[in-house]
Amino acid sequence: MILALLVVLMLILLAIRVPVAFGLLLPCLLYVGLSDDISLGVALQRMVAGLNSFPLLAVPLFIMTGYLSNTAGLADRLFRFVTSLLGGLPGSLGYVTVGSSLMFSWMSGAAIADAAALGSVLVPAMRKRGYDERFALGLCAAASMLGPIMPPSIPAIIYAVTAGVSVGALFFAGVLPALVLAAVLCVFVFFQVRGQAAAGATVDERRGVLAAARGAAPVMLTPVIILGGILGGVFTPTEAAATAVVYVLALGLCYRSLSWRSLYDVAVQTARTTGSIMLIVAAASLFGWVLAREQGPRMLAEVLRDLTDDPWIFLVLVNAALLVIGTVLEPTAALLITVPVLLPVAAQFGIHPVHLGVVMILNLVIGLLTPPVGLVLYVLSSVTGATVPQVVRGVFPFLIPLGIALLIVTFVPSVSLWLPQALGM
Amino acid sequence: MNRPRKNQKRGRREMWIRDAERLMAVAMLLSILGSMAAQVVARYVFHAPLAWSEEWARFAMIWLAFLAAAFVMAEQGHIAVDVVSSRLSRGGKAWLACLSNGLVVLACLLVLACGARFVWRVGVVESPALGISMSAWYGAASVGFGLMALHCLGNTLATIRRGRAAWDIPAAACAAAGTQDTADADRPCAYVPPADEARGANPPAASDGRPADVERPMGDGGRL
Repeated sequence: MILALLVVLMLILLAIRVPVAFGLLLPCLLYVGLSDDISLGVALQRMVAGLNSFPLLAVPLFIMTGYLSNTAGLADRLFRFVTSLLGGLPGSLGYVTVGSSLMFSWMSGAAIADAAALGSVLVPAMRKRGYDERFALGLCAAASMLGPIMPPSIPAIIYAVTAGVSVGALFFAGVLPALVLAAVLCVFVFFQVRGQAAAGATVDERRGVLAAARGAAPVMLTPVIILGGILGGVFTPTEAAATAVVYVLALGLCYRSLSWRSLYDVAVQTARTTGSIMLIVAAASLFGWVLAREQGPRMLAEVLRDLTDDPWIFLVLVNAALLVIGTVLEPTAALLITVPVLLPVAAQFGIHPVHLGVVMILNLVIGLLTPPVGLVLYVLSSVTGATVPQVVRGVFPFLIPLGIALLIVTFVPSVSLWLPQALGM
Repeated sequence: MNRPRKNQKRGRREMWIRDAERLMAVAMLLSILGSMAAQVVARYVFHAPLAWSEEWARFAMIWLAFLAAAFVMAEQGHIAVDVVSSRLSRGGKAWLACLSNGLVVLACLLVLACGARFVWRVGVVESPALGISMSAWYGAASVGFGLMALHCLGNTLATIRRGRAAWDIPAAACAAAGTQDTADADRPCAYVPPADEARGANPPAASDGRPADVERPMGDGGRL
């Protein structure tokens, strides 16, 4: 009862455009303040405790890796390499988009970083060669979904910290689903470009495959350092993130593509993104505590158990609910709110927490593509000059391949679980 | 003649606070990076693992989070849901901004009031490796929420003065998305200077019903 009131209050606050962090915080503060048996300091203590976590330190560092590698022009080097490799295929730029995103996703952990990097290079390129503009926009948006699924992944760290799962396991659990998504997208591109006359033309940047490979090789070493380091037990994900920042920094200095000014800007930008995410983490940690104290997950589990015994139906319900939540909430915020509720319930249905994590992340990042709150739409619109409705229309058909990938990941747990288990994580 | 200058002055003073917050947040971020790198180097190069690095990084992270949250508040960049608000008229948006800002200030003050005694009391405890008083750990939240209340009040005053919500002057969404162009990071988000304000006073509506300059802050930047 109290919980329902809290949730309703929270929804009202979100609707009147109170920032998400404060929309979570205010009802919890009222709860703490009005309960007789809780010391008031608990609110502050829970919020700081939510941030006082070693794995969480990887978030700002991986955000910095993404911004830094884009500013240092490392993303461009990857694009050039992929173009030289795939440029000869019919409809090549479609595959180049998916391939470039796949490459860059090994270094970036957020969809908006991918969308900005891809959109600014590939949409103009496709436009110039006469591809359908909507197709170009939709493909860039859909391909940017690989960023937060492929390790390193910011949502994966947030999920792992909230759910108490190993960050490394969740990182590796994302590899196969990301490849599945890339494959489904490629098939979709294959059928789409058949109708487009211009798409038959090849790109003549094939000449320097070797030169492009030489240019991109040091960049491609970054994910090897990150994932190899984690897998080999050389360092923790947090240390891996710090090493990646230092490595990318060194590359940028070698290529002379970074100035002091741009470094400071990258740091401020990292702090900005970290600040807006971490305030939600702090507030959500208090909310999670209130939720547990009021036994919210247990009640939800009882309701769901009355409804169904089948874990598959449960997963379908979870998918439907998360897709709806994802349209209005940003993935990090949505994860922080829903994981404390869903995780204990899913455990009762016998669903592996790592599998649940991958399903939830994929669901919520698809929400980045759907209005009203679709950050990727706004990013793409800004870097390409297309209007938001244009981007939305372009994205629409790509919900089909994304949905197919989501179904595969949801109903074939081994896609997520096989790799981390094979690696003994 | 006197009033606008006063307003400008207030705006500038808050900018100064915001810039200081930025600088300190960046310092914290770099110290996290430095201590983590030092931890790896010490372990593998010098074979002498550091005792303090992890604790320092966590401490710096807490301060980074709250200092950054404060300057993001000054930029009006905190993530919010604008499903309902985007449908309101400009005046309605301004009212709504005042209401939601008021609630944010209320929340900040509640945290301050609730937390003050707690922060004071835990001061006797020290962190194990570095011996930093727990008041400094939990104090980060108090300082952060205090600064956020300050900025939020400033934003509210600016909204009242302008008769227009700061997020209605499109720059806030980009900061929330973390997509504001890095070269453009210094542009004031919340405090649009008067000249700018006059220029962007009546944005022509785009086809989707949003003001056309929604695209502007991200659009003129480019890459990220």
